[in-house]
Formats: sequence, C-alpha cells, structure tokens
Amino acid sequence: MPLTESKIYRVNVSSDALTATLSVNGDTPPDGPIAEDIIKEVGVLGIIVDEQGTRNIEAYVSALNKNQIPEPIIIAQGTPPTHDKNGRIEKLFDKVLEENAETKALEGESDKEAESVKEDTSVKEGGPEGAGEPGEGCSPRADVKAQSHYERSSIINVKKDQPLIRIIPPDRGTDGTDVYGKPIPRKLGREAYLRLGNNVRQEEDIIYADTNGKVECTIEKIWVDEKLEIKSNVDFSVGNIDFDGDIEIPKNILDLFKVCTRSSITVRGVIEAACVHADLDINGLGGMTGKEKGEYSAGRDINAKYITNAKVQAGRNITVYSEVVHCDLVCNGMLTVENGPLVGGRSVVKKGLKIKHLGSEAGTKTLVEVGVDADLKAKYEEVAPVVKVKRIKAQKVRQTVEPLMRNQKHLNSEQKEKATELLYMASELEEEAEGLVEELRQVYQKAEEESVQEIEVTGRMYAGVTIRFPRVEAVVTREFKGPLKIVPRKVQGVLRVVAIESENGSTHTLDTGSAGDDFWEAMMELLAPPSEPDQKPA
Amino acid sequence: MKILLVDDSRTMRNIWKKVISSIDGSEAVEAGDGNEGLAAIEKSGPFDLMLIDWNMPNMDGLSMVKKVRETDKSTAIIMVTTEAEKPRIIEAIKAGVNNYVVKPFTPDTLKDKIDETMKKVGAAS
Repeated sequence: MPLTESKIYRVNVSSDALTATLSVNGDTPPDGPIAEDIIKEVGVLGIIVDEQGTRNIEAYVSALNKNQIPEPIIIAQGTPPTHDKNGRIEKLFDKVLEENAETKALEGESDKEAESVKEDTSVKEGGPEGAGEPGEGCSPRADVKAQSHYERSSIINVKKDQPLIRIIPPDRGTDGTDVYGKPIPRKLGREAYLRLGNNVRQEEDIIYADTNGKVECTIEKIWVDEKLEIKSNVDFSVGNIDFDGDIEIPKNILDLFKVCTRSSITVRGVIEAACVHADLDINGLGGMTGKEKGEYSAGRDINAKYITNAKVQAGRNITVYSEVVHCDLVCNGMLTVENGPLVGGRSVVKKGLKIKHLGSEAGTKTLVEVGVDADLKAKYEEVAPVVKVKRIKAQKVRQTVEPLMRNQKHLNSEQKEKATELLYMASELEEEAEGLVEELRQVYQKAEEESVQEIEVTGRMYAGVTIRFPRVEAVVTREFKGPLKIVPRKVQGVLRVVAIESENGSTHTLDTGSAGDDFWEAMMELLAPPSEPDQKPA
Repeated sequence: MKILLVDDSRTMRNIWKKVISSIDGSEAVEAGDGNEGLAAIEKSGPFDLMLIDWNMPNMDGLSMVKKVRETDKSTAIIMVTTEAEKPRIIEAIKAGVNNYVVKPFTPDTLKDKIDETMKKVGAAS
C-alpha cells in the first residue's frame, strides 16, 4: 500500500512494516527529482532511512536522471523479532524408556517363549532363542550383556536425593524494529511445568527424589514409587528387575529372569528357575520350582509354600508350608517344614530343624547338617589356606636365620642386620597368621553361642538320611516314628547322635561316626594355641 | 611416648617403628645419622626415648650419645647395634646409654628392652 504518491514516485511499506520500497509512478522518467527531496519526503513519513537506503535512493535518482526507469528499490528495512523458545524439561535419570517400545513389541511372544522353557528344563544358559543372554551365572546383580532382552527392564531405579529433572526456562529472544523505528514485540515463551507427585521435591530448577524407588514420569507429572507392583508375570514384558524397595508380583517369575531388591519380595504365583535375591525377605506364596537352576537368597527370612530343586540361602529362618525336595539349602536361622517332608539334597541349618518328615520311604539320600554355621565354614575356607602359607613361610625364614643365630660371633655387621630383618619378617608372618586365626576364633565362638543342634521330627524319619552335627554324624538305617528329637549327646563318654521319642522318652543311639568331612578336626587344629615358633606345623 | 629412632638403615628403622607401634601413644621421629639425630632433638625434642645405632655415616651413634649427654642426662637411650664385644658395650654405657640391644634381635627382645629401660628410668626419676 503506497504511503505517499507524488507525480513522480511512490513509497510502499510492507504489511509487516519491515520493508519500505521506492518506485516510479508512470512509465516515463520524470524530470527533476533529486535524492534529497525523496529522502526529505520519506523522512516526513517517519521512515528511517539508513546509509544503505540513502545510497539506494541516490542510485535510483541517478538512474532517473539518465532517463531510465529503474526497478523498485528498498529504501528502509526493519529488524524482525526473535521469539522466545518455550521452556522445557530435561530428564536427568537413566533414559531407558525409549527402549521400552522395542521391548513391548516382544510382549506378545514372551509368554510363548517362556512356556517353551518351562517345558524344557534342559534349556541352555542362553535362554530362548533370540532372547539374548540372561546373564552370566545367577548371582544377584551379576553383570549382564547389554543386548540381552532379559535386561530390557522398564523400571528406572532412583536413589533418595537423586536429581531427576531439570526445568529449563524459556530462551529469551529479542524484540524487532519496523521501518519507522518502532519496536515489534517478540512472542514470549511458555514456562515448562511438571506436576510433583509422591516422593519428589523441587528446589529451584531441579526436581529431586525424596526416597529410593521407581521413578515414573509422564508428560505432566513425575513421582517415585517406593514399592514396585508388577501387573503380571516377570517375563520379557518386564525384564529383569533390580529395585531398592519392596516388590510385589501377582503371578510368576519365569525361568531365567532375575529379580533383586534391597528390600523384600512377595510373589503370589510360582518362582520358577529364576534368580531371586532380597536383602530382607522372600515370600514365595505360590511355591518355588527351581528346576535345578533356581537360586533364591534372602538376607533375612524365606517363606514358601514349597521349594524344589533349587539353591536356597537365608540369613535367618526358612519356613516352608509343604515340602523341601532336592535342594541345596543354607539357613542361618531355623528351618521349619510344617506339613511335609525334607527329602534329598543337602541342608545346612544353624539354629535347628523342625520338620514333619525327614527323608522318604524310598530311602532317598538326604543330608542335613544342623547346628552348623555356614559363615564359619566360609571363614575357615577363606582363612585356613592363608594361615598355612604364612606359617610355612615363617618357618622357612626361621630355618634360614637359625644357623646365623647359632654363629653370631662370626657374623659381620651386614649379616647381623640381615638376621634381624629375617627375624622380624618371621615374627610379622606369624603375627599375621595369628590375627587371621583370631578372626576365625571369634566367628567360631559366635557360632557356638548361637547354633542349635536339634532336629524335631513330628511325623517320620526314614532310612537314607544322614544327620550331621558339629563333629559327629549318623546315617539313619531304619524308619523312626515321631514325634522325636535328634540331638548329639554323650553316651558313655562318647559323643553320639541320639533319637529321643518325645512321648515316652525312649532313646535310640544311632550308628555314629565322626563328621563326614574333616572340617571340624581341621578347624580345631587351626584354632589350637600356637606352638613354639620353631615347632610350627608345616 | 615420643621416641627418636636413629639408624642409617631405613629397613631397621621400619622394624623399630613396627615394634614401638604396640606402645600406647607412641610417636616416632626418624633420623639417618648422628647429625640428623641431633638436629631432630633441636627441632622436635625433647624425647622420652632414643634408639640409636652405633655404626652410621657422618656422626656415629656413640658420638651422638656423648653430645646428647652433655646437656641431657635424663632421656632414656638404648644403643641398638652389631657391636657385641664387652669393651664396646662398656664404652657405650660409660658414654651414657641406659641399655644395649645387640643385633640380631627379635622384635620381642627389643620390646622387652624398651619396657625394662623405661621402668628403670622411671624408677630412677
């Protein structure tokens, strides 16, 4: 739209007021216009002409003076505004959500795949074909290969006070200016906003977790769940779980999956050939079917409907409703099997065993070690070889220095110094060995105070069971009817395993020998007060 | 107890340090010869006990003991040395050492000598 229109020329300003142009009226060159006139007139219109605009006008007039009709030219230009960029949120926790879409795609196939494992317990360590590696071994939190589908977990763990989100404010732009020099305001950016749910707090521009747990973040809200509730099975739709809080699983944990928590796990379905670890308790309400691959460990108690063919370890008590069959079990508290048998495998129990039936009518080989502290055995196995090596070294050093000590008068200064060093080295080695023995002694004393060497059978005890207490063991060769207690007791001055019928007090001395392994003998030898340095055992 | 250890062998000083570490509240200062020992007394003294080797470069242990005793008659001094001949021992005692440990020795021997010396010195004072 022309703002001014003389007989000779006209000035147009664009609709956004960012460009002013000059053009000739009519199709013949006018007479007489000079640049100053045009600039003056444009000035009256309020258009700000800069140096470039002035040069353009001069060039334009010069062309007119040469009887040319030049093309319209720009005589003034404004500056467009730079609009603000909207604020946004930046996730500071692990960005694994993107992977979930891929995992979800497998969801439909997961049940089928897991089912095939269930049917074939001889499945290879690698798990179902195409599922990737479930991870080396089955120890809690063992490292696994990143590409494993088992590891495609949808759970994002966060720690208390961990920064979760950074709220980034809008990027500020700049206002523009039109050809009249008036400002053109920029569009203002919107502030980013995320509603705070449970267990999160915002300090300035950072949102933090208020507790350990699982973070959930939607487009409008963020929160942290202290408890993890899985909706169905632990399968490929869920992946392996490593969580800080309590975990509740309404159905099963399928073969070869791992579930690990720093708190407790409750599984209402069956725990299959999976690796399950809880720093506190495991409640296997639907039972535990290990299929010779399952490993279940708890820092405190394990409660289960039944346990079969699994490796089980509990820091405190294990309580089973119906049966324990063919398990490798370590219990640092009391093992109770309320209504069924303990059959097969090996069970090491520290604080007594209370059970309905021990062994089976078929004479299944069953080893129970009661009153035995697994920590003590582990400590012995850790310490004994080191002590042995140190004592041998010390003895060798003393043997080396002995001739020097016998001939001190003939030693030169250097030899005397060397002899002192060797004597010192021997003392150090002996001191270190004795320090380790002392550590073992303390574990032994604690175990002696805490262990309960008693088996209570309410139903029947069958032939084929080996009962091992510290230092003694007996093989049961016939069936006994309960209720009865089996304890180690001195009979005519000799330690024996005896079965005492609770109803009438009848005592049966079982055919007892020394404990089947040489652990106790070897440990007591190690704990014996050290002999004179020169006579230390090799 | 503040103890000055003077021996040109670092290994030997380490052995001494290990032995005295079993003494409650012990604090060790090390020196590599008699000169360094005297400098350490000036800088970090006084000490409750000095363990001094005889044969060292620059200034030997006996000379250091004599220097120390010019001004300090009370600090316990144990000479720890390979010099086992009786005249040498007498010479050291005359110079002012309170006890004498002949190398080679076991850590227990040194510990016993320290205990014995500190008792004697304590009783005397």
